[in-house]
Amino acid sequence: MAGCLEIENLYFKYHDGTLALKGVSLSIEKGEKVAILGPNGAGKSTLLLHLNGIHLPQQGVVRVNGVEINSSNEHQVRSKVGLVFQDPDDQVFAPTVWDDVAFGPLNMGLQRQEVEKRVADALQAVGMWEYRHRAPHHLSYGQKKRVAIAGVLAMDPQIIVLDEPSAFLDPVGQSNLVGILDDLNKEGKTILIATHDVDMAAEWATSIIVIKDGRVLAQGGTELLVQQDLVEAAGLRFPLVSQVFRETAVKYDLPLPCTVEEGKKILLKLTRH
Amino acid sequence: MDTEHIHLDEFAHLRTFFHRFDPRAKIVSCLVLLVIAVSLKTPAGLAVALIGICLMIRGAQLPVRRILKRLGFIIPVVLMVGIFLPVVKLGTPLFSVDLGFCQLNFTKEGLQASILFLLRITCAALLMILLTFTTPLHVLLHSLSDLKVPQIFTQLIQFALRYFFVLYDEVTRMQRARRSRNFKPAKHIFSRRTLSIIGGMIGVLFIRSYERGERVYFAMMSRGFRGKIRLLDYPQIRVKDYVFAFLIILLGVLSLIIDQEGWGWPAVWK
Repeated sequence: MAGCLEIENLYFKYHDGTLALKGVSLSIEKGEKVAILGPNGAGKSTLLLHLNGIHLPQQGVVRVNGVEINSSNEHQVRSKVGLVFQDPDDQVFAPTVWDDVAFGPLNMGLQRQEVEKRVADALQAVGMWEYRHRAPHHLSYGQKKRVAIAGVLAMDPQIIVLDEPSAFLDPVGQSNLVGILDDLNKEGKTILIATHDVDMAAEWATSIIVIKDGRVLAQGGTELLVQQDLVEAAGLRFPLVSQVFRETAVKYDLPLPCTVEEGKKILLKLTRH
Repeated sequence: MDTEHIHLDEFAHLRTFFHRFDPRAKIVSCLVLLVIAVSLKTPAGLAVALIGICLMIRGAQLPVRRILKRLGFIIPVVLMVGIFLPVVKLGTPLFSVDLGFCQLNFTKEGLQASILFLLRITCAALLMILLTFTTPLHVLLHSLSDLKVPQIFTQLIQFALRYFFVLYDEVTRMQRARRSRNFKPAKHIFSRRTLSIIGGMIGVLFIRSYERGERVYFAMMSRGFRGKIRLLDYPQIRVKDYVFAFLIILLGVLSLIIDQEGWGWPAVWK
């Protein structure tokens, strides 16, 4: 089955000669929740900029819904794949929240009524409708982040890509974010995040991609996060829950848990003895 | 962030008639009045314009104290010209000061000229204050685009305002970080170390802004930007707006007529 997002043998070299991507290949199915993990400088952000045609492949192929991205269709691709940048100050530029969220739909050439409807829906989805007349520079970081997500939602993309979505968010902000992402996923959107946050990836993702030095080290389920050799090679760490239960799991011959829920189950099981 | 940001349009949320006045009609009529006001040549004409403008400000319910505070920006200019003009303008001397190597004559004509100048600049400043205090900034910029002002100008202002605060926060954070490592600028500006540290900071700020500019551009492209920011059209200008704009321009015309001593019917005024 063809994935809704496929990358084959992608290379990318920056002007200064740095080879950021060295033959990345991966495939993502529709409706998945994907976490791309890797150390700083692994090429995550560069990879993300290829997903909606901001960078076009210098070598290799990126396909969205089976269609190869090239210079003639890069503009259509941008309404299919929405990219949320790490720093909301980079993305939210308009003088008011409303104007910012309307920026994408207006670029798509939509009519006033449709624009207004989409802005309202997007702002309500992230809980920022009350702030629509505010200037972005008077909002908190978490609020700006939500506006940035709304700005992409309003374009109604099938795939939403977020670069380090949980960075600098407070715990409430993080759990709000996970809630928003899960709601979107339930509506059938494919969601891809690039992150360092192993615990978030373990709790949230259905599929994991580990990259390092411009190459994909592994793609699979969350069980990848507790593979000792892979985790070490990628400069990651075990999820906290897995660290806690590591010895216990070996002793009682149980599968190593990744999420808090799995950990709780093991605790209950053991204490019942 | 944690710093107190300046609100440039703090009274823009009030809802008097002047606030609801269509911004395009407001801009055009205020500009016409401004051009007329600065071209007036008699105190009588200027007084009429000034009284009219003050009445409009009163109608817009703007607090007098804030207006005076904002008006303070013109004081240096007025002072400079006010001292300079009476000396350089030739005419009947009122009094003179002997500086030893030369004699300065303060002339009556020069004094009159500086009073005219003061009135003109007050009119112009008050009009601009009225315009910016009653129109939210983004509406003002949007209306300027509607009035066919090239987007390069409105976008420059818009981005400058948006990212000024981001840069301001960045500078504040850098200063704080320097202070927390016990950096004390030298007493005089010519200290080599202080200069090199401040220079380095400006350089870092420049590079950061450059990189941010690139990311902002990528983010805009990601949302389908293709060179022109599209805006929703504002609703049609209503008859009320035309009437009010006409009244403002009429004020200008009236002050112009008085300025020209009534174009042949000065008897009414004399």
